[in-house]
Amino acid sequence: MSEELSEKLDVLTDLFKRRLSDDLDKRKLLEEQARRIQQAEGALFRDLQLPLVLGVAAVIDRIDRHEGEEREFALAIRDELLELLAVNGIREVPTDTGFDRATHEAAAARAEEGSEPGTVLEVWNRGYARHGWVFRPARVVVAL
Amino acid sequence: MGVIGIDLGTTYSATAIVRGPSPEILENREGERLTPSVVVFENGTPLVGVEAKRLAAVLPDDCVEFVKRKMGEPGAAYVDADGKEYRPEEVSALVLKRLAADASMQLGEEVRDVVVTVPAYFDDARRTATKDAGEIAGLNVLGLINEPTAAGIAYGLNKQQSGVFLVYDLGGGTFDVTIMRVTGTEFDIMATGGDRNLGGFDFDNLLMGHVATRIRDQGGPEVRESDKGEAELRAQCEQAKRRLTSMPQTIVRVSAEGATFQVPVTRAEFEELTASLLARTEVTVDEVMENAGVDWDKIDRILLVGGSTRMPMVSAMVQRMSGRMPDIGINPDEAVALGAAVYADTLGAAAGGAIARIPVAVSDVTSQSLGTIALNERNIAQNSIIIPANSKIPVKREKSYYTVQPGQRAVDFELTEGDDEDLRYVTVLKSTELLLPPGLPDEAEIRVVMAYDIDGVVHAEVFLGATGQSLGAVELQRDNNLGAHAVEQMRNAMRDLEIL
Repeated sequence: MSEELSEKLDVLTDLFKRRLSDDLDKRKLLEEQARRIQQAEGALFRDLQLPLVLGVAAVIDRIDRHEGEEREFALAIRDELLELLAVNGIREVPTDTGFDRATHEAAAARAEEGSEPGTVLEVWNRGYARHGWVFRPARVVVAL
Repeated sequence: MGVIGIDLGTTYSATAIVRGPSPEILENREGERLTPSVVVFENGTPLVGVEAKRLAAVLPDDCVEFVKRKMGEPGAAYVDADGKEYRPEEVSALVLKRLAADASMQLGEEVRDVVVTVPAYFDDARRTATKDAGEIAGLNVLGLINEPTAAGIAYGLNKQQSGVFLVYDLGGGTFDVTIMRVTGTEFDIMATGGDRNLGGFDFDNLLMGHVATRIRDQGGPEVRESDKGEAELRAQCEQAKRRLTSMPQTIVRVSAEGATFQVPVTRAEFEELTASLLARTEVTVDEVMENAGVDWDKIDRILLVGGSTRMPMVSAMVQRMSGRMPDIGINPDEAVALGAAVYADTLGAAAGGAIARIPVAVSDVTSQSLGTIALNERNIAQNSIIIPANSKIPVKREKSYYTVQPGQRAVDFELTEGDDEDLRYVTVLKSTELLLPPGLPDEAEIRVVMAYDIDGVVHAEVFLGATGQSLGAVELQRDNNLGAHAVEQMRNAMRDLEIL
């Protein structure tokens, strides 16, 4: 009887191990497929949407610099464009945190009295990220 | 373990691998397909790539760019605040180490075996320096491959029977043109040339000058007077240049002093503005074709490489010169890395006793002629080539010379590098006096044997013709390159170095 039990236990153990191995294989396969889907989705964004998004970002840059007539109207259009980007998963990179090389590009640097080194003194261009990918860093002036 | 191809560029680098039926680019940890070849030393810690480029303006004195131009040269590429010197090989090693680390992250396994690309014009010292950089980075450099050859592989030239191909490579900052003969799977460089100070950046500059003038014509300010104004103008002009590749006209819009200025630019205008730059590439193409001794009817295919070849005027010019359409279809920014990956896959498979997914054979050749100095029939010293450029490695050749007087007791032996007979255009790599035995007759034969081994080391030995007695051997240790001991030391020093 104990021999029979032992045999059954061996079979069950073997089955369990094989199932576990199958599960691990399937999980790996799923992870690999998820990676590929994410990669393909990223490539699609890069090829199809990115040029358009960068074009919109350039328009926003110009509105940011606009100091002439109809400023209120221009700013309203800018905010609408920023909202449009946000709705499509594109987030603006924060610039009130001090210089962060992961999201900012130093366009220039200068010493400024009263400013700690690394402080963002000016923002020349806003930066944008999508799903954590900073496809356009904010171009900033950094305090030395 | 993954085996990758690395396009180690002057301004940008890229990595690629073969995992399926075709090679693919590996994104870096920032999600970019190209990595700036920039190193910044931040408080002594090296920072490489995208973030280094972003930090460059803050730490200009601690930023090293364009190190590829210094490869094979003696001296430091960077000296830190403590006086520690970094050779070009070490800085390049930092870039390679980071590229390999990013590739490892992407692949989920350690990358150690690599193939690195080099320009076809790189001499042996610069090739050795590139290989040393890989070793210092802790990588196993399976081989180097010429950039045009790699581009040719990406375009599938290795699948053709044979032919003569022209590779026109216009990048961001450099221009190269190479003519090569492909026989089966062998690629031989016939001639190469270029302009190291010509690239897409120069096209941008001319457009910027034009737009700045038009803004002044509209009553606007000199926008380039401020850094901010110049930065905006450059960004707008770069984008306009890109738009003009697919549109016949565009408008460059620049905001300055509270006003917006609009400058319409047609493709024809842009092409007229930059015609002189394109003409420079045309002259170089003509020169290289002359050096290769070929006419257009002998060229089977023309490949365009480098992002700046996206400008329609480039393919139009090549078409006008050659009478045929150049090949397009591969991303010109990525072709070199993709081809290197195919070669890496072949070498990796061979090392592991496996079969490559996309097999290719590339014969390594000497980049420059090697020879010695001898008197010609008019008693004038000239360069006498023993191993011509483009000889397949390993190679061993010999040539006989004769003493000039009876009882001569010594000969000056020089090892030269260069293709010209005129000594003004030749580099003497090694010079030594060899003693001769007494009692030699006039015109006694002296045999010079030169060999170039698989690792690129040059050996030369001089023999007395009559007896075969060795008069002396020379092994070339290039002064500009690191010795094996120095490479080992640097490799050990870099092993535990943290690179951000």
